[in-house]
Amino acid sequence: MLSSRSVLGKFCRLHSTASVSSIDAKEVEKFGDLSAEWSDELGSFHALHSLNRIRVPWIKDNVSQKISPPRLVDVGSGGGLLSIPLARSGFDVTGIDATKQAVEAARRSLQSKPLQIAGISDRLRFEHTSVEDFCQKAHNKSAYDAVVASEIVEHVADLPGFIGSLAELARPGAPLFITTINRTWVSKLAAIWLAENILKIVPAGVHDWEKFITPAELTSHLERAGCRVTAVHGLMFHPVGNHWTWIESTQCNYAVLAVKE
Amino acid sequence: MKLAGGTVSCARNASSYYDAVIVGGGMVGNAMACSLGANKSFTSKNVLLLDAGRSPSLSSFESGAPFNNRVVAISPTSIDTFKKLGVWERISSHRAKKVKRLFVFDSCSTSEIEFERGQQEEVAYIIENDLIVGSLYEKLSEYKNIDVKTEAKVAECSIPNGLENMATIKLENGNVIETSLLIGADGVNSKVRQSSNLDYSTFNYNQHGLVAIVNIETSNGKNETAWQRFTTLGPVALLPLSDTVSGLTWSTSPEEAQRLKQLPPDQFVDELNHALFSQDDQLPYVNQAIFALNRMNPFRSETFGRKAEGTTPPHVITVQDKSRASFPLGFGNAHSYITTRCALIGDSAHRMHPLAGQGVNLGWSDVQILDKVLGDAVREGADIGSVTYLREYDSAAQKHNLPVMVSVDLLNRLYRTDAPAVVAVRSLGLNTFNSLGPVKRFLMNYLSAHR
Repeated sequence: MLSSRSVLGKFCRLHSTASVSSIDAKEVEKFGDLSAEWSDELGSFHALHSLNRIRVPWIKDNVSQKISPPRLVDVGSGGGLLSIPLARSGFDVTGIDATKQAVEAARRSLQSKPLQIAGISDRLRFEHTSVEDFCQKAHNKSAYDAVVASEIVEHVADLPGFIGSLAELARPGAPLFITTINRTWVSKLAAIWLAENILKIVPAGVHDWEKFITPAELTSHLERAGCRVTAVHGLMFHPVGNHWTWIESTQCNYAVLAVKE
Repeated sequence: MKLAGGTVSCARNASSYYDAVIVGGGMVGNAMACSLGANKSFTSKNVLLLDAGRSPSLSSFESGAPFNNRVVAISPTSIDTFKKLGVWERISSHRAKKVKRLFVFDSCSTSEIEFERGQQEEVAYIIENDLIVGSLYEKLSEYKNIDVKTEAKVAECSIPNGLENMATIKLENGNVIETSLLIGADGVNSKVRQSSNLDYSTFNYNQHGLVAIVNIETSNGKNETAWQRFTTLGPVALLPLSDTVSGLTWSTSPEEAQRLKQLPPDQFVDELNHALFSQDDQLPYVNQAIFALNRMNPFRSETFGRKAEGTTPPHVITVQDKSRASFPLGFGNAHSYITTRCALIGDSAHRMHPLAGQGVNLGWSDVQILDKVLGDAVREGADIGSVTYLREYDSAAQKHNLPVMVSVDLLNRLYRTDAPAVVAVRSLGLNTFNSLGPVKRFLMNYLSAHR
């Protein structure tokens, strides 16, 4: 695993510099280095694993189950740690990510016996691509009953372009789910200083405070992309017990639900 | 669906997969299987129950058949669990003895405590272990998502460090089973716990529990009180099984247990009655203090002496043939009940002194908690072997179990001495507690409201 990581890392860097998109090459490299840890629930991504307890029901409850199975695209799927639970919950899921090692890690977990036996591997696939390239394909335009971009918008280079692509993937009336971190002094304290340096909830350097987005900015990008924001809720992480709760304040982590007009 | 042990004709080392495998077909393992069978989130999952033996047939529990010497006191909370699982009818239609009152007293003083609930309400039911095992087993055949393998002995299990691998169980016949979640319900010497490498604290009490079935005689012909007398070697308990039969649980030193087991029946009965009635160890000045306090207590209804009725246990007449058996008593608790792809329930996770009759009730509480957590995990699309979810079971179960286990341990230590100072403190404490009606009612409501 370790030896193959450095080889893949080189490949990945070559690839990402070549593509024209909202992808931030440095970010891609950062996540390439962490790829071996995706499935480790107690490792670097433990807070993302526990975030599933709140975001999976949130997504499930807000997607119409009339179409069976609803088609969902998970943009920035990483090691698949949200895509797989969503597929298990009955969605047909396409996970896309710009980090090749992450996509490879996600594909490896598709081979697991329980997913194969339950037929979940048949309605779940991972693609190594940028969201711009992906939404250019005719069969992806307005093709999805739900679009998810969870903990990704704070890692992209061109936010308006990225949000525009998300909107293109959604069919009219389909919900878009975005979770991210606000740019406030609270988030500088909690999400950077406390989470990276003191409590070590996430690896140091994984987040860049300057790239955090306020709900107002996100809302305006969404509106320009032809989406209507229907709800904004705060999220709070409890390091003791490793769990999340919904809160009113959007000073740090928050979630946005929008609908494609 | 039931698979008899021999009919699973897989090739040697052939590997099969189940979403969850429960090792151990006892009172707790079978209840876990029934819970998952009834769990709506599990209808599309496959669960396997591995039973090392064969389940007892319910026909041996018809009225008139001799009582089995292993019995348990079932709390109102556990009765609710059985009602929910749809097995309570089956159990109570055979034989389950309702206990309306629990009376605890001390060989060293006249202190006493009495637990009683409303006229129609029970404090507990006394039921034979195997009747519970058999009733749960019968219920299992109604669930399509549960497979049962009887006479399936586990040779070894392996538990992975991460979710990328499955847990595997190798049976003695060479079959290998893979699973997302291995549930250890295989008792005190759990193989699953040993394979999990979870830290486990344990010690022996240097006490043995002697069990027997005895015929008794009560003053009013009714046997509705569970009696427990603390003696310096350990508590003696008589648990009603019918109006004329009670189950005995006598905790005493290992040597005593050995000697008592081998005594001729009539001598055994004499010694048992002596343990229940003897006044030899009474400390007069403690009793005088209790008497004085009782006279001053405004909450106590009868201030002159003890009411005679209902404060003396029944006389033991005979002990049933071959019903005496004994086993060592100990305390144990796994520091964590879970690891990736593994959860321990019941005695495999924790073991305690039988004096309060709580052990198996804690096991059923584990079942309830784990069943709920696993249901959440499936609904949220998670891997059921994920510690993100299993941790919730661990913390809820430890929080529920540890206070009970520690109190019972302390109680046992407190009553194994006849040092006058300790006797005085415990007697007055117990007696005061018993006299303070409002306080006691509050505690009883708290305990039984814990549903």
